[in-house]
Amino acid sequence: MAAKEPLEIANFLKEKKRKVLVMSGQLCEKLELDGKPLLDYAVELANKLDAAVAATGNTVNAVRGKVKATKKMWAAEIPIYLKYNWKEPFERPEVLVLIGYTPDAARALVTTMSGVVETVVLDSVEVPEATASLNTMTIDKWKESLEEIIKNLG
Amino acid sequence: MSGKKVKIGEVEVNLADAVRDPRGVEDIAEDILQEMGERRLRQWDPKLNIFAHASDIAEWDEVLLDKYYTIFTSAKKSCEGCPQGPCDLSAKNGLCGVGLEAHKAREGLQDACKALARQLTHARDLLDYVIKIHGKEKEINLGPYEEFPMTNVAMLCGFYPKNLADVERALSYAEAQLAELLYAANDGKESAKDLVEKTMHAGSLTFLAMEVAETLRTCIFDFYNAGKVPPTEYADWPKVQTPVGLGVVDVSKPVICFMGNDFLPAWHAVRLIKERGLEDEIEVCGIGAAGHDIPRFYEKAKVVTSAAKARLAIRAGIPDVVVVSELCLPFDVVEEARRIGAKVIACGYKADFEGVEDKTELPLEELVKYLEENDAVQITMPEKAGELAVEIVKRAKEGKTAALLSEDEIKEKATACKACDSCFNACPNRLMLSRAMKAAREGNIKKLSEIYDECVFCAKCEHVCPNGLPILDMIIGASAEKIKNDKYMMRPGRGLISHIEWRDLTFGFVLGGNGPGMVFLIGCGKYPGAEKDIAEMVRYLVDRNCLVAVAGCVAADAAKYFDEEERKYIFEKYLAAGVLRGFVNLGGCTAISHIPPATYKGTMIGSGYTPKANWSQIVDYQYTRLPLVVLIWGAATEEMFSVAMGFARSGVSVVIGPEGFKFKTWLLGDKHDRSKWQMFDGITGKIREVEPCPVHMIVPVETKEEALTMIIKLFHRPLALRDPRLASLEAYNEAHKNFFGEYSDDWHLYVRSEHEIHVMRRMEMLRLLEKEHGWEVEGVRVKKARLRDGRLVDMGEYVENYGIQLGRYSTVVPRLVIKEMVGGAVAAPSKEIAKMHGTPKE
Amino acid sequence: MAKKEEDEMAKERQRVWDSLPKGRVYQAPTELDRLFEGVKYDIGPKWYGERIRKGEYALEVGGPKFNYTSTWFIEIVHDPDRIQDGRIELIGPDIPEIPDGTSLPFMFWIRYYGENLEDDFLDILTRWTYMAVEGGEGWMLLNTRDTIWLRLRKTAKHKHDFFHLGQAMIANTKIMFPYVEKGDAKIIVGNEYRDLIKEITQNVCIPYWERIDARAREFSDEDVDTFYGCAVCQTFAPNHVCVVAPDRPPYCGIITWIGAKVMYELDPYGYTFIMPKGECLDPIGGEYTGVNEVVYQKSNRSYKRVVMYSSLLYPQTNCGCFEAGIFYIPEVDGLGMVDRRYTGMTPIGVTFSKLAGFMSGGMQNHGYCGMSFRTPRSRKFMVGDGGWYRIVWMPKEYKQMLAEFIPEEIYDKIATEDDAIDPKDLKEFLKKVEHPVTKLWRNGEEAEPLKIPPPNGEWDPEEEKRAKEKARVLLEMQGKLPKSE
Ligand code: SF4
Ligand code: SF4
Ligand code: SF4
Repeated sequence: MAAKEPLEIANFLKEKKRKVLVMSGQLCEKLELDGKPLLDYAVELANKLDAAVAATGNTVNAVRGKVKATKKMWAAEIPIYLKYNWKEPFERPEVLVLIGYTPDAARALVTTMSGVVETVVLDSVEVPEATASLNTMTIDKWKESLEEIIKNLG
Repeated sequence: MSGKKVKIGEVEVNLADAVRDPRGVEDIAEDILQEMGERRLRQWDPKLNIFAHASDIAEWDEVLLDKYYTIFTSAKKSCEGCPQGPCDLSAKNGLCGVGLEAHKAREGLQDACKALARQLTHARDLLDYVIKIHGKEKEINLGPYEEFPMTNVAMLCGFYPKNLADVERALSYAEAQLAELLYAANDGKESAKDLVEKTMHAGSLTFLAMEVAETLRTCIFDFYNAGKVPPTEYADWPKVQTPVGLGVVDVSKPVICFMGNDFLPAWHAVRLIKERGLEDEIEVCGIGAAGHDIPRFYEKAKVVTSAAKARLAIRAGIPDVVVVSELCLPFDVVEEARRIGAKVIACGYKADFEGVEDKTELPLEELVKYLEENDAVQITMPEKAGELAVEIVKRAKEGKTAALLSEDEIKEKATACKACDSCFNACPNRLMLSRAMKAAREGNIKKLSEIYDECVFCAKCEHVCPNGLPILDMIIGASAEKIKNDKYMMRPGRGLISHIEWRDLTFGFVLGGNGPGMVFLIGCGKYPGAEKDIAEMVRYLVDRNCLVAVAGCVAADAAKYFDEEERKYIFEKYLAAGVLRGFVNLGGCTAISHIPPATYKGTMIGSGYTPKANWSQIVDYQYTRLPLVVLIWGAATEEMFSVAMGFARSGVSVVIGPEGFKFKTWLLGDKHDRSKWQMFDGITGKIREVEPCPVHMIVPVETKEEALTMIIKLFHRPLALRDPRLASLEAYNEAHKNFFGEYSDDWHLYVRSEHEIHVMRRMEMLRLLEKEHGWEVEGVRVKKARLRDGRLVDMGEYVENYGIQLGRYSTVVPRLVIKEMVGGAVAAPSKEIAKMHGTPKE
Repeated sequence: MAKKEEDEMAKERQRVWDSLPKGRVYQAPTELDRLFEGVKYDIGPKWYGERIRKGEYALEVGGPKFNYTSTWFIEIVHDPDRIQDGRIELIGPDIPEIPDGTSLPFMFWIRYYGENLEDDFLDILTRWTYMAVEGGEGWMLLNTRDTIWLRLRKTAKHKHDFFHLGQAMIANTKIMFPYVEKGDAKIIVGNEYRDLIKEITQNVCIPYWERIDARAREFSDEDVDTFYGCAVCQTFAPNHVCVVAPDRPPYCGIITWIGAKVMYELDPYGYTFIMPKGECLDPIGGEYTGVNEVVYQKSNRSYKRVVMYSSLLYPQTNCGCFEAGIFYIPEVDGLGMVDRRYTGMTPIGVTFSKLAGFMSGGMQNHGYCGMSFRTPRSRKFMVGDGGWYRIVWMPKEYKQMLAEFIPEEIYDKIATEDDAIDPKDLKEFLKKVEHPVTKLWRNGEEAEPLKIPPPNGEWDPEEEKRAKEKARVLLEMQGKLPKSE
């Protein structure tokens, strides 16, 4: 599926009672969108969605205590657990929201999960292999889009 | 096929049962069987992979691929592999019958074949060159401390080469294999699994190709070679004498910079420089593979940077003459050199650049003139290329125009940025250039210079910038100080880890020692974070008693640490021997071929098996016992992919940095699936459940903290002895807790007794076992443990049901379950021993 | 030593302990879960083997500067009431108070009590106590007992004080060795205590060590009725079993008999197992029915006999981790020894690595045996083959390394690679120096080699007799034949 507008994405995520899991990648720690760490967006998103965060890279340290549940996980392992043996601590998700991955990593990850789970990539680069992603856009636009999604989640 | 029978002691082996097609290799087969001896032949039916095709090693590959999931990352859904295409494979197989998974596997195989082709042609060029000079009878001798030269060849072909003719036999075999693999990569109609096996085969062959090139370097061109030096000297040999970094080159002198895989032009240039006594007048430096080769024969050589950052070295204005052979990470050298007014000599048939003419036939004086008028020339003969470089470098220096951008120029150029963020979205490291440009516009170039630390100089940003900003020049200009201060020292590569050295090492270290494991660090630069991360990872591991060996470009970045307290460079800080807390530099890219043999030697010493076309036997042993991990940090090149697949096939786990998400294939295990983690008791043949380890064979990670934790976790092996188990479990718990603020969810799976838990944490961990996993603890001892099926049992039952009890022979290959006990049986001594002894035959 | 005398000595030690100058007293937690509480530095395998040079240390205690007048004394106390568990007394300045770069004499006196602690466990207690420093972050430890020498790295100084060091030593020992129920310590530091430390060492420590060492020295295979077996290397080499006896430490050099005993008791599901000696079949060569039986079972019924002090007759099997090997040279009817550091040729025409490849893998190779660097120090070293008098060849460096263990009269008669490598030359050499093995030769001229059975084979009974007779001849020359024989 191609890129979507922020509002569409918000609606897609809200739709019915989907079980969502947010994956926070290392760039969440590294990138700041004009003063605000990308990680804060990941946390707000998870809280709005009442979702747990599968914190990959080193992000668990910064996410811990800010969302309803989180755990250190390994990005590459998530696809195989989803495919074969999903185990606690989180409920098996229907939708994965990826934030904070390089476009290459995000592309590889969503490809390996295609057909297993729906994926939403919230990077500033379009990832056509995902169920939904943002358009390729500037940093300012990206910031706005993330805020818009969060706002529209209720 | 009925065939020749060989009698070893009382065992008769039909060659056709041991080798798929014994014709033409009977002598090799017989020699191997003799050496295996009667005792082993009674224990197992031999299977020899002499001049192996991929399918000859299927026995092992299938064990591996059964345990680990092959994850394909390619997003392609249609195939244009032949004129019948394109075929949409998302719903149906293609017209030729190929399925989507297989198609993805073919892509991986294509990548591996590319790498193999590059390594093979390099090895072939070098071999032909050497044969021209020395003839085929020239002996292969790696020195008195290495009795097993070219073990990669031995593992695939079944013999240890004695002379160049033998080497050529091995190389021709590999070339034919490449053709076969290429066929499969393009036209293969087999299953995805078969194609993955072939990809691993390409990996093993890549080692062979590299080994040929490396062996010729050490035997014929006298590169530093540990086989010739007594192990007592390794601790500080070779000396830490090679300057590394952009700041080490004296640019007031004429500078020749070599890059690419071929060291020969440099070899000849150095010969000439020495002959003419110009050592102090001309700076000889190298980038990438050549950079790590030259210091192994010329102690005044300098290493500028890794192959991935070659562009930076040129833009920084370092070389006056660039001599380039085939590149592993190709970029437009000629164009880049032109920017600074440096001359380019493209050396070899493969160094073909558009617009650069082959003028090999011109006499030297005319070449000099030609280069005065032109920017670049192609010379196919290395002697001539080397000579020309020395000849013209002084004049080239005079004509050079390079100058870094000044602060004012940078600020001025930054005004052209429209903050479109095309660069940000193209940048592999997600560097926020538009923000740095804005700061520069406003008078502050510090942000640009911060970008320098993480930039890999891939130029993607420049490439996409709609407004044509010279982004790299701006980053470099803002970082002039950093470039000047980029000065370190490294130990040049020493070649192999010798057989004798391994004896000392396995004994205290792998078998019973305090070290968690051995890490081989390879890579071509192009890192996610700062290049200093590499040195940090090395220190972390070495300080935890690991032995770390580096090979390839990454050595130059591993060097980037200076201990202020001890006043020592990292290479001076640690012992260079293969011991606990050792830090060894094996050499340039081709030295990666020393790594699998180094692992096989551990097996050889532990088991007494000589690696010789007995793949499953050797690899089963090391996969289940030896804590060996490869870390690839940096660019996910085809070479790295190919060797990663090769390492996995050799039973060595591979951790690859963030670029690894781009690898076409990952090999991941599922710790939750108990059915995957089983072994055969080697004596009774019964299946036993074991710990999920090593849990992955090829796994990408995001950060250096993840890399370190994963490496340590992958040290775990079901048959490791207690002390290494303790050391790796402790290191794993320490790393996980420190880096991620919590213990892992699987550490308890590696505990088989309280004696395996670190003393200071023991009570804490025992309480966790009690609370979180329902074990029973009494004092400092575990009373009852919980099996993975949930049963709470006493320790006697626990060790009977989980893991391999210390001191039990086990295997993952069904054929290697011992079929006959050898009690009272007669085994043949090896030929030599029998000869010396006149051992009576009964 | 009589029980009474021992009691007297214990009383004297207690008297000296009580009479020490008063210092600062600390109390460490004694509950299991809190044993390490407050200890800020790390202990673990990764800290082993640190080297700290001049200029890098904050504090140096003991060592050459004081002519090694410093002592680390570990005592086993048999009366529980004498020890106040966790009490640590520091006599002298503490680490944070000492200026960087200072060297001082010191004494650690650590006492343990445990109902099941035997004096024989001193070595093990010592190892586990030392571990808290040797494997402790920031410390360098060299030597032992009254030649002890420690250095503390400047950069780790802030993590250390003597109270917590004492606490960690006791805690470490308690965790590693649950037989320990109580421990206390006194730490004496400072120039003013130099004479005191000397005096205690002379009058208290040295007699204590002498007594225990004498016990250990006298302690031999004959004194125990159980040996231990170790099959840990079967992981690598199917069927291989090591016999661990007081006089026959395994060639890996990792464990001793006492160590194996303790390990077996602490970890019955580990890799050591018990081997009741049973009946002695051959007191010279060291063959026991019990050993044979267990070996037969544990080797997966691969071989039936082991002669413990022989490399010719039913020697122990080898896995792959031996540091040196011994081999039979038929041309001279003698034994050669080679260590892994020697890369040249041996008289049997193979290098050590080739030999090792052949020997390893858990096979009974008559005529070959793996060894640790320590094996030749045993008083029973190859007595089943005639002891040192049967050794005819060694690499030069190896010979030098073992010089103090080789009987003087034979030292120059053992050939090295400088004298001979080829068996023919070796023979001439041995004749020239009148090596004892020439006494086994026909007319002192021609060796009459043994017919060694192939690996895992059995000896021809007549041939076995000949082999034993040869050993007797050589032992007789050394006056080493047991009287009863
Ligand atoms: S190779 Fe097969 S799948 Fe690919 S285009 Fe040709 S027919 Fe179609
Ligand atoms: S050259 Fe540097 S800034 Fe530009 S895309 Fe590459 S890594 Fe990013
Ligand atoms: S691509 Fe060019 S114009 Fe666009 S933000 Fe980057 S530097 Fe500025």
